[in-house]
Amino acid sequence: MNSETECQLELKSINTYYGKSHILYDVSMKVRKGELVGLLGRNGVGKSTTLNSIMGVVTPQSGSIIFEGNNICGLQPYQIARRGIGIVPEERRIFPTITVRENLLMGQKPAAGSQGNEWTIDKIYEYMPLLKKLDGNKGGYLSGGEKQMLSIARSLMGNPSLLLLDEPMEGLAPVIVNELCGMIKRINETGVSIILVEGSMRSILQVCQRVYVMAKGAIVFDGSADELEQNKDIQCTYLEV
Amino acid sequence: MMGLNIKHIVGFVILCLALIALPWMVGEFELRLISQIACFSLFVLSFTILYGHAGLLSFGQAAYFGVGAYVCALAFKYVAGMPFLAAILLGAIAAGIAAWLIGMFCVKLTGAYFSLLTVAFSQFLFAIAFKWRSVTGGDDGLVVSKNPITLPFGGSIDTMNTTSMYYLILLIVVLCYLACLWLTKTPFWNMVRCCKENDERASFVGYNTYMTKVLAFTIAGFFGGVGGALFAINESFVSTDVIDMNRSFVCLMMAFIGGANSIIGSVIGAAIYTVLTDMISKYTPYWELILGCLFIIIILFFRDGFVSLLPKARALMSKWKTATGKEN
Repeated sequence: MNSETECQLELKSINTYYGKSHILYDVSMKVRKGELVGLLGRNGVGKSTTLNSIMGVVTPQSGSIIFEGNNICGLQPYQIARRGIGIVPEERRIFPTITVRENLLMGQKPAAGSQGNEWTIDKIYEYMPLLKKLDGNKGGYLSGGEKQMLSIARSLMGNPSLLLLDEPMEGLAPVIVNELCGMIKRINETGVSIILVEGSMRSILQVCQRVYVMAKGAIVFDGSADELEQNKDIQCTYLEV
Repeated sequence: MMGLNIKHIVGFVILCLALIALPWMVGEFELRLISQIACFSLFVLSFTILYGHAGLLSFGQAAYFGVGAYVCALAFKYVAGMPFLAAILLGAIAAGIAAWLIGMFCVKLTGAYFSLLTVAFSQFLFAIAFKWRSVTGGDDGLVVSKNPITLPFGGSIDTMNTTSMYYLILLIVVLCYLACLWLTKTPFWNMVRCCKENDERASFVGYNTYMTKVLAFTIAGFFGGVGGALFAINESFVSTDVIDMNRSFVCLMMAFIGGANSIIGSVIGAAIYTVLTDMISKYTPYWELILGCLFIIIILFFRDGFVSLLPKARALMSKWKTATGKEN
């Protein structure tokens, strides 16, 4: 397999700061096309900052972020979104005053490349039948799981080729978590690459092919889900509380 | 249009008929006052769409009202045979351009910094109007020498006649309101609302939030400019009063009195403020004190303005109807 040609996103030694605080230390990671990659770590280790750096919310002071062959470092979030990266941020940021359908329409835009097979409202409803039932409901009246589903669906309407999911399972009931895991897998099977950020290892091991573990703003582990499951040292030192 | 039913259409037709019949029911002074309310309502609308819909609290909306008024007056002064409607359009476009240029700087900021920068730019334009006496007349102002409107099939409309002016202003204001209502149903306006709710969220969806806000600012300035141009025509005079800080705060008061989130609230606010000012100032020189107290009461107890009382009044009416129906 030629990993260089298949590499969709590559972070090359990025260093990100919030003001004078150094948050990310030489973070490097790769996501191949169609891959579902997990990013694990305790609270405050820099997982969300990594996603924010990719998305352009905060610009790394050094290093580069290569997406589909182009350096996207320094671009505005909307420019990055238009290149085909979608993000589902923490706190399920849906628009509360408009309906589920309007929320989906807000996210609609054609695919950045000519990949065909675009996401439409009908296709979304096929994958997430629950949203079809809630079609006319205002976003603000949905439950936590429903909001999360809508947030992911809205990102898909932008036809991203890479989807960043920031702790989508946080605060949800186990039954809903299982449902979401299944949904994330199904989305990945359609060809969308995914970076799934989570605090808990269980859901990551359930769905991801490859996992990065972060600690104190740096990558401390890079391997397959099976390797992580067997590596008790990493689990004890960096993941268990 | 979405959400329209037979009741709305009947109500709209009755309102139009009442407005058409108004010149036969009131005197010339009252008619001029109503025309003034119509002009101010567009001014307030420019604030409402910025604050209520885009979440941008501008303290300098008089800038665009003033630019509209001055450019319209100058067009009549310097261009011989200036067509009437073209002068209004010129005023509105100039205000739109001014808003676009100012908006490009202001919308980069948020919160108090945004508001303060709008004040700074407004004061800058005020200073031009005040100091550039050779063009603007300074605090002596400019007389607006309007040309009559020539009709395409012969004849003309006398622009010095209060009734003709009333109809013309009414027509333009109604068209502007319909345009604004249409605009609020467009996907672009959904973007504007999303920027108000959360800038970052909207940019993650792929929207250029900066340009969206600049465009909303420009549209608001355009409507303010139409209001200013109509005001200049109605008053036949323009002075620095139209562009000073006080005018911006009067606009803000009108908006909050009517309901700063509502398009209809802008008409209600302009009407209540103008009528009250006229009525109270007849009896006491301390009319501003009374208006100030009214403003405090509204901010404390009716933050959504008088427009929020309409559904309550409707509910009371239907209760009363039900009660009287049962008695019968």
